[in-house]
Amino acid sequence: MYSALFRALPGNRMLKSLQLVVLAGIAVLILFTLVFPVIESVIAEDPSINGN
Amino acid sequence: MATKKSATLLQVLGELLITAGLVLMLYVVWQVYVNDPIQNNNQQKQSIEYSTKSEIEKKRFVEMRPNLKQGAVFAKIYVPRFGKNYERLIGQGTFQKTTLNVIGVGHYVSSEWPGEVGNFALAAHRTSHGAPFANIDTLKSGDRVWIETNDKWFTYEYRQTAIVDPTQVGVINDVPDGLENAIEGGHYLTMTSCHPKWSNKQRIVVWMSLIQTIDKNQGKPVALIEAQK
Repeated sequence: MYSALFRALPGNRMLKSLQLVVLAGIAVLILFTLVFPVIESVIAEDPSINGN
Repeated sequence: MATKKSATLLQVLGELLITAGLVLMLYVVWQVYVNDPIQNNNQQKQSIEYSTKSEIEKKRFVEMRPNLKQGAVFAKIYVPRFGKNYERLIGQGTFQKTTLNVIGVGHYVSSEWPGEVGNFALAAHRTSHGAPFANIDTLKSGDRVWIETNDKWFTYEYRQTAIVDPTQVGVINDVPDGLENAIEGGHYLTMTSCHPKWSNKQRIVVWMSLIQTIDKNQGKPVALIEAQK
């Protein structure tokens, strides 16, 4: 999967690696700003004793 | 040919599993190093806004009364043990979306109001969403907690800590189950949160007793000012 992605990226090995790092950064940013906050609101722990 | 195809499938599956593992690790990193500090800061700021000196900016605590809507802010809590300038708003109810996740500290609707006979009981996250009660386990003998409302300051002093099961709801009774020498007619404050950290298997409970009530027009309690120095 990742090797196929690596092959599909344009440029030489150095440029491909750089693009991969940028893509990983974008993925992390999306996770941190969009995905995780939504997950958090769904699965957050409940510290109440009786759920009142 | 079939062997090569299944090898490729296995490789993709392996990569997907590694990715899932990395995402889970990132979630923990986000929770501890990104989300918590942001929420913590926001909750402290929210609380300070209620005390700005300018009457125009000053927000008003809602009046304490029955059937107060969930999330309505009616008081503030000061816990110097959690940090010299630690203060948080207290919202009505313990629903996560309206109170615990956004305001920080929530009041059990079945418990009493601050200063009243019986038990004024609070809940807050131990981890995540600013973790207002992250250090609840550090409270000890001699520690004091202050509650500020529309018209009064209430000072509570530490009594006891207990670890209980989530089903032991009697800890927030007017005469709390498990509190040594608890008496009918006592004025208690109960702080509850999850235990241990990162788990909601049990609850940590801290009980306090009311030792002083003063009118707001007498100014901020001297002991609190001293504790915040």
